[in-house]
Amino acid sequence: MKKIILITALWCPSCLIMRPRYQTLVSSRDDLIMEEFDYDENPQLIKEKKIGSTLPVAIIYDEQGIEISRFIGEISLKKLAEKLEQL
Amino acid sequence: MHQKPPIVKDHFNKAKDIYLDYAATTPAHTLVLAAFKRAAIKYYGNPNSAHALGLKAANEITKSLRRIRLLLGLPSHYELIPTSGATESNNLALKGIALQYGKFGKTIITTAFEHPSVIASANYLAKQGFNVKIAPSNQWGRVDINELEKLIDDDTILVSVGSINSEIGIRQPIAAIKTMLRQHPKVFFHVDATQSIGKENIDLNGVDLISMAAHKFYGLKGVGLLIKSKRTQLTPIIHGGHSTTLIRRGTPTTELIVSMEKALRIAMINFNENNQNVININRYIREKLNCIKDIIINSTPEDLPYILNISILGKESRSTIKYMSDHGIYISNHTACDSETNTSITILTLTGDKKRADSSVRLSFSYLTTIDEIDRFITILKEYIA
Repeated sequence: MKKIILITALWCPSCLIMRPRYQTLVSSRDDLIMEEFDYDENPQLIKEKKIGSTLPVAIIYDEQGIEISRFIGEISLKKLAEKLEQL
Repeated sequence: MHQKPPIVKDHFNKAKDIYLDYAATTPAHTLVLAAFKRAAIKYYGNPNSAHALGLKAANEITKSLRRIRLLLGLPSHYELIPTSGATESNNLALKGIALQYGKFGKTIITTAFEHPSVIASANYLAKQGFNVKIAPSNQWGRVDINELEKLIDDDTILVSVGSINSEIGIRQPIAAIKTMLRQHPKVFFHVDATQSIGKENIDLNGVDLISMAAHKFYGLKGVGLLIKSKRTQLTPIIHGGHSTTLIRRGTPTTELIVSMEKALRIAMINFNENNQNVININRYIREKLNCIKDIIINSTPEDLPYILNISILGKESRSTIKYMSDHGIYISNHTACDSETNTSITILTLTGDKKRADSSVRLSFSYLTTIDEIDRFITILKEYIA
């Protein structure tokens, strides 16, 4: 099962837009799960994953837990679906 | 009739420093400080106490709130709820409506250009299962009324739109949204008017919830209002003992509320004169900036003249702020409540240009701003860019 780690912040308007898009796509697939982390509440994670100032950040891990892709900021639902399909 | 108060210019060290961050906060007017001091001495009783001193303080609050309502041109059915400022007002508006009406609908509509306290409340509610939609806007960030109306359905309980965006000064079509929402009487309308009050004539009658903060119009920090229409019910988010303020429990701050009334009265009395000065300043600085290479003015002439957002290409916003501060000039990048990063989410959303978003800074003006200050700022800016 692939996994998305979605990093959002309460103050981030793009996170409001992107969260439901990720939720929609994850719920439509059986091979994908998602976990959300708050940018401000997880400074260690933010440092470890080298998260920049543009949010949200989605890090996609394969079945072995290896990072295979990373999406940053706003992406249309269609493009996001295509990107996830290609993984 | 109140006597026109003195201009506070003389009370600042204008010879040395140039403050261009009035959208973040304004210096308190001396008469506001005097009103605070007077009320603190005269009405020190707890307004929630049943004795005469408490009742005297409570009565003063009631009178002050009534006068604020009249200054804002709102009819008597509006209730004014004192808060600690706009952040609390915005939290109470969004969460209070969501908790009260969540059983009837889960959809809240806002824009991408709201203050972080609105965005954060919306994000919080989205995590609690509410459906938050972002209203589409045109290339200048103004809400498209037709597109906004298309988002409204039976599940919608609230539309929240700030009258003025604090970073660029985007002026939202509040009157048109209000008119459109009359066709959707089940939807409540919240306006974060924090950057409008005292700076523009705005008709808020008919809006269900209005947020404001005194320190944006030469009042003190730590006091604001959430104003609600009679039809609007809110579930409190701050609970406490018996209080004169049922929706927001706690001890009402008599002196802060009285000082807020004073600040608003001064702002209203001098409105036309102050506004014209700021319009002149805005026009003057635009002319100067247009002659400087690598400067892009992000605010349009239709935006609020008190705010001017610019990008200095090739210069990160934090470096610009540091350089200016070292030279006694105080400006911001994006909203002061969200200034840890270089990137302006607002500019990025509007332009899609990260370089422009990373280099944007906000200048904000006052009737206290002078042409001489602008000339000195331009000189330092040219040195910085060279």
